[in-house]
Amino acid sequence: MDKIEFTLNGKQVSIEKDGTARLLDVLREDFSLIGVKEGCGEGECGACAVLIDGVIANSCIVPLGNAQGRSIVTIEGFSGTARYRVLEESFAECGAVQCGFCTPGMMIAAESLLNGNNSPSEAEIREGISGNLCRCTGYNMIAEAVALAAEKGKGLW
Amino acid sequence: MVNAYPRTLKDALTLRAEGRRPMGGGTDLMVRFRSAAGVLPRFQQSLVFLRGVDELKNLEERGDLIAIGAGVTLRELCESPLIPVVFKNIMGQMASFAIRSEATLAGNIGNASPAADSLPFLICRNASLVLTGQRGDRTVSVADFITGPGKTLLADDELIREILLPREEFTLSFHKKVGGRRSDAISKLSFLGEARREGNNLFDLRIAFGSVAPRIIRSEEGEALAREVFSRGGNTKDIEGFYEKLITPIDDQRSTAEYRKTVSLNLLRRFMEKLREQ
Repeated sequence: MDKIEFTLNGKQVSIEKDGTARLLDVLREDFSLIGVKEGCGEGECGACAVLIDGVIANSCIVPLGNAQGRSIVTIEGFSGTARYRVLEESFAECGAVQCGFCTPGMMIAAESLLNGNNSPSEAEIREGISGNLCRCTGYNMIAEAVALAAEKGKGLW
Repeated sequence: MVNAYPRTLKDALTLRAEGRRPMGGGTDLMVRFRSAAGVLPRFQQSLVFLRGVDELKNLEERGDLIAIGAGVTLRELCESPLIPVVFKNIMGQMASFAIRSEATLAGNIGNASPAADSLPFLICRNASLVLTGQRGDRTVSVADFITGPGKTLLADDELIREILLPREEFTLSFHKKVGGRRSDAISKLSFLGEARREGNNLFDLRIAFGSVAPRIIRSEEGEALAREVFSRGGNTKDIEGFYEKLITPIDDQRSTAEYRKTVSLNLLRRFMEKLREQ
């Protein structure tokens, strides 16, 4: 057993577990954070996306050992922020949520993108969400929602 | 044996020599050894996690070279002014932001996939690797380092320490990756042609094909032929005929051998056309 310590949604946590465990499984099973979804399990769909030190990563292919000393934020932690509320409103207004399975990952992708670029072009938005698959919306409504959030949330990012 | 989390390169080498497998960002290994949801990946060896080793995070100019530490992520490379734009574009198509933030260049090289998207570029640019072990360092070219699919010259007690990329200028860099999707796709095939042309003088020409043979294809003989054909304004069919013999793709779930060969040769022709148009 390895002892891994990291910050999770703002709180210092410690877990004894094999460091090869998928961060995704640790978040869902040990910390009950089930907003983090498993889609493909191999880094292609982005449903398991979390922020690590403020940047998007796919938790299904991050070994727990690589979380050591870092700050992990899941959709549950992000949902307490003003930025989240702007994204939530924008996603609702644009009809960017249908079945909802990709939505936590899409919102994390949007946050990571806007964090580095608070007024992205449409091409930059599409690149920013290119690692996240949605099987319902066809992406146009999601791209519009991110653009709307950037507009509405001026000053937040 | 247990997994280890060293903070210094010296400790990492000791732990590696005890028989542990090196772990960088994990974005390839976690997929290769994945098991079911909630079940540990099926690693056969204990691991030495290299993320905490600050000595592997260097990214700097060193004379005519750019030195890239084994712990540097694709994201850090994409954000660095030292890295050529053509390589940033290759990395942008190779992996989404969510993978670039964790994946290392050294990992992409070490896994030695014939479809590794960084390899045609690194081999075109004559990049080399510094391998380090308890007995000292040695430098090998990326082209020599990879001996076959998943096979490298890395000894059981060695780690990749850094990648050395020569600083060079080209007037034409033509790269195409063919995959099922813009990001996160494993290549069906990829092509990189680079040249330095000034007026009618062609000073340099390099050609590499990825995912169409057990190793990346780069041929001095083929490049000499391409320079010669360019100089006499000859037909590119001769060059295509030469490379056709080297391109030996397979049929797999991503594509077919016939498609891979045809598109590779079309891209070679397009590169030669672009070179003429310059």
